[in-house]
Amino acid sequence: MVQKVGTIARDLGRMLQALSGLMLLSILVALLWGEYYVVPAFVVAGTLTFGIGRGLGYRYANAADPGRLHGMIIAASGWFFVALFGSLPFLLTAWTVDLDPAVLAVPASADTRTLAAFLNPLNGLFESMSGFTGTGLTMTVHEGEIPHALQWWRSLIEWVGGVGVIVLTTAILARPGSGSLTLYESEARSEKIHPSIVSTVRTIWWIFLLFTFVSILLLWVAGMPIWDAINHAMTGLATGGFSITDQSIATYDSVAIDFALIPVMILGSIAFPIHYLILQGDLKNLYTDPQTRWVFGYFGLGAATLVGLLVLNGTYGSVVSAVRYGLFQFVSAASCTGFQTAVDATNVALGRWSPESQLVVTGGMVIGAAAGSTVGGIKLIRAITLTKGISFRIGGVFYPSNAVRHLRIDGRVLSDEEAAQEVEEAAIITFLWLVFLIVGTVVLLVALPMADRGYTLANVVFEVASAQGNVGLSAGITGPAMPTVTKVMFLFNMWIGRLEIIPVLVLLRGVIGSVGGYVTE
Amino acid sequence: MHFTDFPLVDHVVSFGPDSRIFDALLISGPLVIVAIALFGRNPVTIGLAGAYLLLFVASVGIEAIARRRDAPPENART
Repeated sequence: MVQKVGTIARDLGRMLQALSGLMLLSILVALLWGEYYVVPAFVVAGTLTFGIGRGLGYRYANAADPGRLHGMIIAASGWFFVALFGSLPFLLTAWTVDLDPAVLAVPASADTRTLAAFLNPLNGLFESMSGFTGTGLTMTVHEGEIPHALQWWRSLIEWVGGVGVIVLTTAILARPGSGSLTLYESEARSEKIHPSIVSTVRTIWWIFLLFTFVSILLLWVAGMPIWDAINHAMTGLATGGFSITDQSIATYDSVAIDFALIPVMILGSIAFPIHYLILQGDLKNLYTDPQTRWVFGYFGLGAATLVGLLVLNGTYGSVVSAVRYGLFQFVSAASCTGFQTAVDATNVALGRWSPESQLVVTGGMVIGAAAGSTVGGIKLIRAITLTKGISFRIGGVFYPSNAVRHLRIDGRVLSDEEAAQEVEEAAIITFLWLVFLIVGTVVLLVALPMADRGYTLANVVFEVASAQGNVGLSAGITGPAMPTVTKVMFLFNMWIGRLEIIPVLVLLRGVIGSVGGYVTE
Repeated sequence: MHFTDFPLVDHVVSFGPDSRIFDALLISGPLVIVAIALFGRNPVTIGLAGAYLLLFVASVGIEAIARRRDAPPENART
């Protein structure tokens, strides 16, 4: 590990330099809105981040090229440090308003309880980690009270985080069993598309930008104000779910907006290599690609089940309302976006749905959608791999021992070795996911004032699954008043959920190994 | 003068899936959004946004038709 530090540090330095660029560009938003008092916070944050990033890059400029081990450690540590430095705009803006230097002429309206929550660095780190991991759980009480520059920063970090995970899973961490397509590997059903990671990343950005513009205009046509449309398009496509309004999408109470967001969230849920093929005119991938086919089927079946339960339980007064809110919330949960329309202000809060309805939503959050998209969760391909693997194993009992059978997953016929590797990968990830779900649940059960706040076990499991699945739907537990240990636990849950656990464990093993005084392989 | 003659434009559109229509949508997207931000919601901006969205959807179909037209016959021998 000691010998690998240089390579890791250099690449971390590059990430931080890129992050600083985003901070400095965001100054334009502050200027456009006349929020001049916010500018110094972004200047300091950007300069500090750039300085440290540049220093690391310069110090380790001649480090060795990264290998596979480096990739996982860089991904895990990079996400953490990007979230750490990405919290600076929240912290520095809050302290600017609190100190209220005369030269900056901070308006009195800026001094709000919502912004003051970021005086606590842990809250800023939570918000930043939630943004970059595309979770969407928030420390803000009233999103409309924070400066527009910070609303933009929240949306931007989710947007960048969304692209980041696509790049991560399709170009860097793709491995047998992860379910990710790679644009630069030859596939049985398509010609070699891109020869390198660099061109892959650029194409992903191209597609993401185009879809963002389409989403912005779709939401605006549906009735959203343009600033709201820009932010919600960014966080919706990235399936992050940060909103700039207090009640999320329920604020608008608009059927048109609800239904306009559904295709935006679905776009973010489909593997981006498939989007590339679709834009080239290869439409058959919408139904021939197994993951895409399963996403549509799973979304449809899950939404129909949830709507059925809402109707049976009489949660809403009409079938139309049940369809509207049930469809939206299931797509929001399964795409791991976390936008919420089911709130008490306009209808029935999700936390007051029947336990079985909440269970369906929770199941959607845990499973997620396609690998190679922006979603969180275990990923649909792993759930299908496990199901088919178990079915294959049980089915094998009914065949003679010398029968030649092959497991087929994702349209591929797997050899025995490949099948074992993929089922093992899916099983390990699912097992670890459930382990950390249980750990998070136990921590919250111990630390939260359960009786005082009226929280139930279902609420706690829901909230932890939302954090680890990078969803962001809340049963009302997450907020600045959470005990510190629960915020730290959620930071960990969001982090490992985004990285699909293994890279974080590799990082921790590497760190523990180096602290223990020996060099790992 | 073609829109790809502008600085950086040619560089950006080269990463897309080789479609002039989608390249044009990528480049014009920010322009439409800026127009909306400047002039607000009125029949012209609504028309612009609507046309953009319709063109995007239509382009997907156009690319599919073009691909099918250019594909070799299924029974062609190489």
